[in-house]
Amino acid sequence: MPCNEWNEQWVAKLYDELDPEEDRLLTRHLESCEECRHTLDELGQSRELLQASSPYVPASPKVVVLRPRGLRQPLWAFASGLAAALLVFAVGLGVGYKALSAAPSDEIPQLQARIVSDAEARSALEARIDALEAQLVQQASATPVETTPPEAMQAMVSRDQFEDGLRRLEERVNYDRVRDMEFLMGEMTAVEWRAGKWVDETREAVQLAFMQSDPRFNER
Amino acid sequence: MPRVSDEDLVMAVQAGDTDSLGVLVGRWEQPLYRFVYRMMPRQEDAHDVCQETFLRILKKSHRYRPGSRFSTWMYQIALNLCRDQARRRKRWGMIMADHQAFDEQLRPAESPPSSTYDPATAAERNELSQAVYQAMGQIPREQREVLIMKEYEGLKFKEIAEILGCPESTVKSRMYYGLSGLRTALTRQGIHHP
Repeated sequence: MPCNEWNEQWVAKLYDELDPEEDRLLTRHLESCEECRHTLDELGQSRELLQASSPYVPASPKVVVLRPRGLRQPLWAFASGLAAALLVFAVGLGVGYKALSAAPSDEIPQLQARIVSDAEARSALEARIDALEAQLVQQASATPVETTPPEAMQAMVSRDQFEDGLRRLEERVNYDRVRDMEFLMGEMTAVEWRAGKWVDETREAVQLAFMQSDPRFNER
Repeated sequence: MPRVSDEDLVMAVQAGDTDSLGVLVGRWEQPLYRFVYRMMPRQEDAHDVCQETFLRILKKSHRYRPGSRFSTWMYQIALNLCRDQARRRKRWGMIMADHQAFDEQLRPAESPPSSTYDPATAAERNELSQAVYQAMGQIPREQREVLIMKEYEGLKFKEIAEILGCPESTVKSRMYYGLSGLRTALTRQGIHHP
């Protein structure tokens, strides 16, 4: 067997994974081949250097595996989850009924967050601007009251100035919206990086983005 | 009470018992972290890859083939994730940071001082570690993976072949050329066997 065909056997010998017959053949070859003895010696030295430089591995952080949605659950887990959901629903119904049947009060009503479309938001904004404009026109045409108004109230605003102000307000709102989107996209990119998934391929990355923005999640 | 095998536990996960995954995590999180960290010495990446490996084991448990070793399957998943992560880092690294700074981040951590701390020995060891780390970066990825799995993880050639999905002779051949290449790279840096 030519020397260069022993390559695989050298490493097997180095790690004591050679079967007895191969080991016997190799040992016999080594006795008569200076070059192969040298090769084996060099491989052994490389291995010793590798061993001597075994990289330090810091302690591993605790692995937390989040249970994904849709995973099969035992029946009792499903039943207890359903019971808990029904209980929460019943409590919610009770609280809702009590709140509706109570006399109106001066309490500030609860705000409800909902997702609105761009068109909806735009028309709501325009309606609000119209109302404010009408209010300002009405105030400007009203008969001056007997008491002297503060100096700031006496200042008159021309239509051009008003429109200019509105334009600047709109620019400011748009600027904030763009910055928000940039931030969100940056977060999503960071999560894509971490999760190794593209947002348009899976919702997991988006879910992670929301979880990461939750301070309670970060605390854990 | 006899110890439940890893293979039985993963079969239980397959049947919907997620608690068995907790047992597997307890048994394997440290060895897996060591393996991943040696493949890519950056703590955040190593942690992410470990987390994702266990998550995939949970989600893809139906892909586990009964009769095969759990650890082989787990290392296969982790290795593929390491490769993906390395590719991503390389791609983003070109955009986000210059290579020098990026490479600095990937250097392995230095070991902390112990009670028998000898500054001279520690410095020598760290110097050798850095030299070997650099030399490892100069040999092909396929050879590097085999060197790490064999030398640091102590896996048998047969197991490595199963993880990589290639013949055992290919693994041995990569090991041979990996060790030879490492020696050449170290010699170029002026590091010789003591």
